[in-house]
Amino acid sequence: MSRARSHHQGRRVVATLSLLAGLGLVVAIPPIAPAAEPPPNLAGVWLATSPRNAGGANRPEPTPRARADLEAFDPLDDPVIRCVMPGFPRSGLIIYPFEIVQTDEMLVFLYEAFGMVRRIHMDGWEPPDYLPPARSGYSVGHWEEDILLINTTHVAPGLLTGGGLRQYGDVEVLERFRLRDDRQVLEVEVTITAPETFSVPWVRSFTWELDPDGMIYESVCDPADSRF
Amino acid sequence: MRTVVGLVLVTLFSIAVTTAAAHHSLASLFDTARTVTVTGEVTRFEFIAPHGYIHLHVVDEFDEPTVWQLETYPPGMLIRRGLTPDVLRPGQKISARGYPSRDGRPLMRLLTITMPNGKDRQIQ
Repeated sequence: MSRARSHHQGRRVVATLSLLAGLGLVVAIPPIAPAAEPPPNLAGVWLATSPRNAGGANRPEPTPRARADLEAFDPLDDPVIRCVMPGFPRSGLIIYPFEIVQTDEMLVFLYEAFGMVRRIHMDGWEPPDYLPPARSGYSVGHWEEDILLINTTHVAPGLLTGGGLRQYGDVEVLERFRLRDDRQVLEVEVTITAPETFSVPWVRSFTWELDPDGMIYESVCDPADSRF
Repeated sequence: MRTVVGLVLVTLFSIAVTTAAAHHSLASLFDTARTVTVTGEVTRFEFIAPHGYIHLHVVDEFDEPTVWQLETYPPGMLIRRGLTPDVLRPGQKISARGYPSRDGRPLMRLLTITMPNGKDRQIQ
């Protein structure tokens, strides 16, 4: 059928339906499916409120390997002294604020510390195995009712804490974010699984407070300014 | 050793480090088991990341001068605490309390500052 002829027939159908509707003969209107409930709105600048002590509560006993590295650690060897961005999850759990930009397909976490960016893929994307390890890893997320679950893998080996506790590239982090107090507080439970470091996962909990007028400042540093 | 004994009050505190430094390990580089307090004149305010540094000209009871460096959070965190270069200026006299550097240098991690008007300001 030619495009012109098809177009002509389509116009005839529309005209016929319009006529029947005008006569009150077309009354069956297909029901409109109810719109899906939009996910909670996490967008905004969030200020850390709960303690962020690096020792951390509930920290499991390190494995012999991690214990040996911890005891041999020289704080002057911490790459952050040379302005190297600490990897996730260390970099995401500190006292500095972060901003969330939210779309249906992706959440973007913009951290003040070292300008770290995390892209949370919400569209079903999965990181292929061949991806090289990254300091902030690769994150995929989904909603389970009002809880945002984020799983992060492919994290490059590095320090879990500034005190010298290491992870060896096998770390996987599950975050469970939830809003409370009428969207003024954001809480997260972080489960850090790193078999080379702990025999059981390290579970931590943090809170942030919404700063409606806040902004994120650049925090890029120059190693030449370091005092250590 | 003639240092800043007259103006440095070393006090032993068991202060829980609830808001650890984000970059380097605070307890590894600073002695978080005690605090020192110094009083002097601001000579410079480095408003930089990842840590700001306030330079304080301190003179001890023997007229021996020492320049202390007071390490702070980076600019963004200081802005939220209201400590900016237009508020803290060279020439102002302040007192500062913080964790001393473990290596003995006149360097501290700043906890509180007593401003020229006598009001304390919590920095960390």
